[in-house]
Amino acid sequence: MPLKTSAKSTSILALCLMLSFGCSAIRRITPLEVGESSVGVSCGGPFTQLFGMYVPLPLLSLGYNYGMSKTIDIEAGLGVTQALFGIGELNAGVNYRPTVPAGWIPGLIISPAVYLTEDIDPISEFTMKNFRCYPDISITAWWNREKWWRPYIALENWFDLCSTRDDGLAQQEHWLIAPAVGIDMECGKWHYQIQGELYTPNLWNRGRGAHYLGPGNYGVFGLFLGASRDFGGGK
Amino acid sequence: MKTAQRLILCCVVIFFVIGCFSLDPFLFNPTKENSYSFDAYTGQKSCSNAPDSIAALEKSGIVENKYSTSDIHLYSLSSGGNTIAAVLLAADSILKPTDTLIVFFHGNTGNLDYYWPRIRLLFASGFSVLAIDYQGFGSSAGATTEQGLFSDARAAMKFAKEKLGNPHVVIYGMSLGSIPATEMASNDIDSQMIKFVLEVPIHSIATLTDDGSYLDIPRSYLSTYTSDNSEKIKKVKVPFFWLHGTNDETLERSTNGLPIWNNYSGPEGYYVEVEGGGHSNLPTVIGFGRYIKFVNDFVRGVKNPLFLSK
Repeated sequence: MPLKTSAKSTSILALCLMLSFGCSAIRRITPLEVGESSVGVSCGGPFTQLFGMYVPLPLLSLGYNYGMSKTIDIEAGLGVTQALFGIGELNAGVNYRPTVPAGWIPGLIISPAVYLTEDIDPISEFTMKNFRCYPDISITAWWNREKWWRPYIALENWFDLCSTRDDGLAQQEHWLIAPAVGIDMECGKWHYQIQGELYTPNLWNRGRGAHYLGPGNYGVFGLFLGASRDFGGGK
Repeated sequence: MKTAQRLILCCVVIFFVIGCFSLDPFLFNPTKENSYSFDAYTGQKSCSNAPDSIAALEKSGIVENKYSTSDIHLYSLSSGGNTIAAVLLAADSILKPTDTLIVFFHGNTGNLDYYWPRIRLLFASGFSVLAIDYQGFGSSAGATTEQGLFSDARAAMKFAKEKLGNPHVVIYGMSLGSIPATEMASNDIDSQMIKFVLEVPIHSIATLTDDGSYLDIPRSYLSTYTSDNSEKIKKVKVPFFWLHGTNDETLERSTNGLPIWNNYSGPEGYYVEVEGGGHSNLPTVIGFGRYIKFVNDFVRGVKNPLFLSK
């Protein structure tokens, strides 16, 4: 079956999907103190058929957070894997924490962000013709049940404002969602996270060149692992 | 400070490795072979039970060309500095200028062995068939690239003209093969091309990117290849036949085949929308006998009541 059973050919397209939810797939859960910063790395991506089996693509991202106030920190991210393939992807955003956890009542994090992408292949002309900007807002609810581990759930909302795709057809999907569930584990100044994600659970995942793994041929499962270290602050 | 230095070092390393890798080779899925087994091939095949059905159909008179292994003629062609494999399925290795030859450009899986039952079906429809393995596929040397596909297709067309007696040519592209097929159909003016067929075609590389991501992501992010069949089809001036399944799980009909169909402005356009058809099983879903008749009717210009037209 052309393309469909291809072990290799699916990865090129899975990378596309990853672009949309790539850099900040793992979001900072606990608040930073004012002036405190955090540097992290995450690895993972959507499950796609590779070498005859479904695996999460090992897509590497770097992230940085800085505490502005008790309720606000800013974040930035860089897609490393994308850069290796000549795709620049930066994201910048804010994490606003209107509430903190109290017993079973979760703390909330509201995170508006923008993802900026462009060709950065050194051998191609840098024209900004292929620049894209995708706004994103995610809402996270987290619980502080134990000091060293915290479960959370999140809903990522990705927006594509383009009316026409690169191939000239109408862009049908302007609002893409990705619910996620994860655990944040704290060990001194280090945080470790594992997060499962389900991209676009409302959209059929067949007929898209890539062969994705999702429940009932809808959506795409994703898995991410992350580690970050805090700097500064009074911990 | 030490952390800052590490960060700077990391950024420098990233700067120097930016764009070091290409995703282009990931588009192709060839299987190398030193030689071909054809009928004796036991691996996965497209339309694998076609040969048995053809044998049964031969008795019913639907099949115009009766097959024997002496109809297989193997060739090596030169393309882009490499040698590529070609197989001609024909009663004679030299055709008359009034004969019709289907030049078949296969999809992205395996090699000629995988598509052999399909080649047999096309032969059964009453015409000689020439098929090639692209560079990197089967016993063809080299690595597969977009320009390589074009070069390989040109080599096949040139071979048909110069070595096979310059017969009438029907270009038939399936899936990935729609890329070299449409390139030939839109540019090749030297051969005696009379008709053009696309089965489960790719709209463009940009469509692969956009469909795969659900987003408007520029093609250039993922590939340096630029093929756009829906643009090239505008230059095709021969009758055109398009087949696509409603249940294609690889190349969605509405974003791939349909834009090509919509842009075709040649003299006669026909299509068959195969209800329940997937990406590689259209002859199976249609029925081998009916598929053979579809090809025969289109090439001979017979109005088939199941064809939809512009």
